Amino acid sequence: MNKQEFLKDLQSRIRILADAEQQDILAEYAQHIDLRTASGLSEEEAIRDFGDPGQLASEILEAYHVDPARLMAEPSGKETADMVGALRRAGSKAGGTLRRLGIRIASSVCSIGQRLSAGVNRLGRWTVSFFHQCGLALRRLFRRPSQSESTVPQSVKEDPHMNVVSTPSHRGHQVLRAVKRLCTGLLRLLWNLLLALCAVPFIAAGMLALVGIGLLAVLLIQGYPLIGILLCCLGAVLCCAAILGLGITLIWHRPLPAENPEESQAIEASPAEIIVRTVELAASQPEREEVNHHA
Amino acid sequence: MNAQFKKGVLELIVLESVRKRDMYGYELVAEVSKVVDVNEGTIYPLLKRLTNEHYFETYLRESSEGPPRKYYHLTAAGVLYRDALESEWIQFSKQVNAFLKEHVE
Repeated sequence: MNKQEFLKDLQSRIRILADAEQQDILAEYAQHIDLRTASGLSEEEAIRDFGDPGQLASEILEAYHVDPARLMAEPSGKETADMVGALRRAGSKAGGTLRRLGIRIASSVCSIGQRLSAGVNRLGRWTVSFFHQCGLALRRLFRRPSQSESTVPQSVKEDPHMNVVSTPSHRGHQVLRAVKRLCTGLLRLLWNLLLALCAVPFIAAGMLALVGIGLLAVLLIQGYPLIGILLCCLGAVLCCAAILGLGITLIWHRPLPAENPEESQAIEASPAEIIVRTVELAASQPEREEVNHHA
Repeated sequence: MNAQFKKGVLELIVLESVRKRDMYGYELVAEVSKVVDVNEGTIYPLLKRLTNEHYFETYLRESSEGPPRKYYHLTAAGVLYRDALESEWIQFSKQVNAFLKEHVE
């Protein structure tokens, strides 16, 4: 038996091992034979020193905790080893194609998701800007009279008599506004309380599902077939989180700009308007001092 | 020498040889052959098993002639295992010697 025959024979006996391991083992034996022949022995002698190839292979397999007796005892041991090798190769090939397929699917899903999210984003931005424009238009419609009203007393303030006349309507307006504010505050409180009440069972269910996930994960690791229930729990947690997120978006926040119209005007006013108003204010201040002086 | 005797202590001899310095397979076979006359075929599977059990680490190093050689290095676990085997061997041989002496007397 020469070196090539020996290596081929050995490989057929250890075919059950992984390809890399087979190559590693064969390379070592080949190197050993090379070194023996370099020291003056013939290939046959070097190979004879390895002893019976069957015994050698069974010892190698023992190192991998493969039961050689069971592989070798059967007459079709070699064929089963061949079959196992072929199966392993087919499996790895199938795994490779599946992995590639998975990667392609994942990348396509990702790109679709990106496109979708970009579209939704654009739609959302468009909607927001649309409503913003609507709101601005509405506010401009309703604000104009009140603005003129609020500017009237400022210009009339010089006359104490006129000031007295304009006070009742001003006070009535303030009372109306206060009542309105109170009503909206109460409504807001009620709405938010209702939302919180609705959120409680979902929070509880979500917490329960989270605890369930923890328990089931531990049990799953211990070997119980609970993957289905675990996935259900995961779904429940995600559902609860989504519903809570929806609830958070439905919370009625205190409408800060609407509460104080003058402030909102200041925010909305263009810089030129602000300058004009401050100049007016500065001009009116000494006049008011003069009025005090006269009084 | 009885093949069964050899098989038992071969592991200890291999571990001790590699503990002194890292060796490649052929070198190790030659080293072990100095102590016990051993079949080459049994040493390589033994090295494989000890590597699989993490008592050895292997690395490739270029050689002046031929392809790179795979060197074996004893790990910390390997050192502990070697010490355990050594103390076992000493106790075992002591007991057997004592037994034999008893019967001679």
